Amino acid sequence: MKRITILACLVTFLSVAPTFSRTADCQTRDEQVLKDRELLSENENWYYDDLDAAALEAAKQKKPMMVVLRCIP
Amino acid sequence: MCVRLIKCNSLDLQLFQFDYDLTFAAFFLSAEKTIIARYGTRNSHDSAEQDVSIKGLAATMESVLKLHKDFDKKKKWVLGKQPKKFRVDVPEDFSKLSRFDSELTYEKEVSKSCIHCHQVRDAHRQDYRDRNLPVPDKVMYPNPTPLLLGIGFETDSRATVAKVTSDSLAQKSGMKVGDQIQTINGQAICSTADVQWVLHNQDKTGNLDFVIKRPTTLNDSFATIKAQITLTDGWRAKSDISWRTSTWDLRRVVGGGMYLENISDSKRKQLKIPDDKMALNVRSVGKYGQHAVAMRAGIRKGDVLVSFDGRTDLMSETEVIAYGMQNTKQNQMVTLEFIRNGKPITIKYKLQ
Repeated sequence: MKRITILACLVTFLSVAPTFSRTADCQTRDEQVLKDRELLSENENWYYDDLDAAALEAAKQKKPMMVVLRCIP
Repeated sequence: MCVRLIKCNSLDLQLFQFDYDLTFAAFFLSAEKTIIARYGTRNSHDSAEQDVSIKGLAATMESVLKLHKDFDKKKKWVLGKQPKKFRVDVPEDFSKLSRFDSELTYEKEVSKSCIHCHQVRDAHRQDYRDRNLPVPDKVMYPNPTPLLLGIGFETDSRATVAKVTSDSLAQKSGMKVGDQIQTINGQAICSTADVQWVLHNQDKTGNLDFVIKRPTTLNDSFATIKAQITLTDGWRAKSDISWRTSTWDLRRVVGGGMYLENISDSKRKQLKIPDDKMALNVRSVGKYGQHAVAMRAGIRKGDVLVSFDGRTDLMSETEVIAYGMQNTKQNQMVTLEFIRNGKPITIKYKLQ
């Protein structure tokens, strides 16, 4: 069960990996920030810039949270 | 639960305390925002991502899930991982960052409205400078690398020792390649970043008590052993901060925009500078604004710095910067001696 959880989390992470990558297709920094928001705010597995909402859900599901801070290239 | 934090504007600094010079950092927290682990390590400017990996992140996740199961019974293992009282609640509370809003302006020049992680460290140091206080070692040399102890970790592991440096504190403690660090001073270790957190909060002297799982010759079996490392005064100042993005601002404050590097042995011999005396090559000088103070004072690329404020025993850029941040004040005039084309020159400028 634990391995499935880790795998699910990694798949979630990797599904948006391009936005964490320094080789994103976007040309400008601003475009990269906007693309990051577009990709993650619409991804049901991610809470975009809303720690409190994630914490409420984590309490309901009795799961820990992974909070990622990634500088936009 | 996966959470993406995009900015440091309004970041809760009473909770999120980490190495602000990373390009990728992750926290693992319980729903009550108790920190279970940190992830993210960096030792180089040019290869920012060589110390992190998907496999390493997965190994950290695995140990986080183990800790999180029956968490109430295991909280004692993460007590030391909790944040310490920080001077300000959010980065904008620092005067250096007070121009920023708490939210990003997505409509216009969004990246310019963002407080970057390294700016938190910049502002923290500037806050000491503005108050005419020396920057404490903990702020000067944050999140020390385990390499200072002589330990290199496998990037793809949670905290498996990949290298033990000869004659290092780690070797003297009996640590060996393949050892898996379980706890240090009672803190569960889920990553190299967790090791760095322990080091970050160490005093000038003290002991590090390790509990280690060591593979035995029998298949799949481990022995649990203990090791101790004693830290002596000055251990933290052996850190190299030159790779850190936040050091760029210190080059302005102390060096007037100079970027220094150690000279080669052959050049040192050519200039007849003894091995125990300062000899730092000016790699570049800033050209704009407050980073151009050195250039306007007459310092040129290729000059060799041999004395800073009368000190000739500062052997690296890190030592020059740390001396400046801990022993001088804003607007203080400082005298520097250089060798240019084989001849000594003296230049003065005002520190920032």
